[in-house]
Amino acid sequence: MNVRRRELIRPFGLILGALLLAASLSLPMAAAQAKSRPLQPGEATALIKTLGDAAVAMLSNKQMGQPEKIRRFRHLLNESFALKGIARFALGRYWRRADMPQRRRYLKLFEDYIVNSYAARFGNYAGERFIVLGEHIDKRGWATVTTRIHRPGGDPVKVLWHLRERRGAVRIVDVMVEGISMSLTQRSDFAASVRTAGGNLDAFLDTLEAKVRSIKPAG
Amino acid sequence: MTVHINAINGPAATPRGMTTRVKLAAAALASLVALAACATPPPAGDKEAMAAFQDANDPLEPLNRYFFEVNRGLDNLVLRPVAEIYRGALPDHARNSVRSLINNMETPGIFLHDILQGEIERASDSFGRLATNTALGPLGLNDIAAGENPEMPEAGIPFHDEDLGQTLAVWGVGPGPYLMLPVLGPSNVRDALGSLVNFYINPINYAVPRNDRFGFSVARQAVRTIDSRSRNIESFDEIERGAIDFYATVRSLYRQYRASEIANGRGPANPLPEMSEELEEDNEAERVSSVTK
Repeated sequence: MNVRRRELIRPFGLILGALLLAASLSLPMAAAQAKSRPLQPGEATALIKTLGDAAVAMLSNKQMGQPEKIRRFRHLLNESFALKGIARFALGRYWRRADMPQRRRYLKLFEDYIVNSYAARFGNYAGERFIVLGEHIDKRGWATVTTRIHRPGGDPVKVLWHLRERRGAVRIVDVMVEGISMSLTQRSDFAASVRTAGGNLDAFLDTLEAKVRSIKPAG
Repeated sequence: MTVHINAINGPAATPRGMTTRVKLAAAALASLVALAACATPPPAGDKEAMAAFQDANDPLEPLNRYFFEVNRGLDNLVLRPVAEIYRGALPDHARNSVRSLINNMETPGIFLHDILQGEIERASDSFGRLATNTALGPLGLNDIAAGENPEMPEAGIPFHDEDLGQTLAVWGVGPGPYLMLPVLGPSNVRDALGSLVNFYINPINYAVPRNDRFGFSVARQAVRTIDSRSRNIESFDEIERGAIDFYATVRSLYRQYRASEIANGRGPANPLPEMSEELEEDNEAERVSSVTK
């Protein structure tokens, strides 16, 4: 602080001082925002129920065309999931090495990758039903909602949803299907792929782009 | 390779066919391992890369990847077509009966492992399931005990599996390096040794004459594999289609699946402790880098 004041006195330090002042004002605010609010009981369950209802309504709608379904799905995905956080986690240590254009390209590709992976399965919907079994809030205020998905003619599947609050929004950070974390699996896949590309992030992004295109459902 | 086999199998070879065959197999395996290039560790200076290498715990990766491709070929040629025929030929309830029957035969062994792991409640579940399904199933042909009812999801006692690998893990034995076994699929040193030794521990194997034990065990495993493959045809296709590195994806799936089995579904409330940290690193960092660029 002393250093900053002394610099302010110098004429050429005025601009720098103003910048630092702006930084010192905005940083505590950012830090306050970064601290996530503990979730209230029932909050996460309500969100999962809303998401489940919206997804079932979308999937079971026979009139709705594929492009509209994809649009709705993309909306739900961005609304309910901490998509950027999951994307960063999936890229792991390579995220920190990426420059801004690479990060932007990656985030866009990651979203398309998820959308295209699931869009191909829209047609497989066969009346699955969804039951919320319970909710648990841990010490950090993160919530885990336990659900069971019943498939006609198939075994029920236990799905856990991990949620947390950040910047005023409650979002899903991970989905665990029968004990398997989707985020962690994605991270293993990407880590191995970047390594195969010799640690070259651009080469990996090209591979990811090709994958996104190859899994894009027709129509 | 021939040199290895001759050295081991030459003058010291025992006359008994069985032992020779085992030695041959061991020698072949040993030389394959010796021949295979081991995964190259990253330079010691790169701490993050080193941590990632240790996380993967896959020093035999090149060999494992080779057998992974072999297994995929076998799956395409044999397992998947058989599973499709099995699924097409038998109605759902018949396949469920096949699964119940096999699960019921494995239940004495599962009960034993429940006890060895000190899981009294789960041991009592296994015992109750064995009694109910053997008596009323009948003979385990229907899983009465599970009482699947979507309206009452917590009613009934669902099946749970246990094996020696899991018991060893509960006792504190680490998994050891990841292994992709030919034909048998993903494993690790602990689980692979566990399944071998489990053959001698599993009570159901003693229900048949000594000479039939091995065949009986293999047959049960084969039916189990076909049944479970028939239930995962589409899911496997989706995973394969979506994965960029299918081998690494399967490795991760196997690890997580085993960890969850070992924890008996009581995994840590937050499975991704490292995730919170990475999730925090966000727009600030992005903004800073956009300023410096």
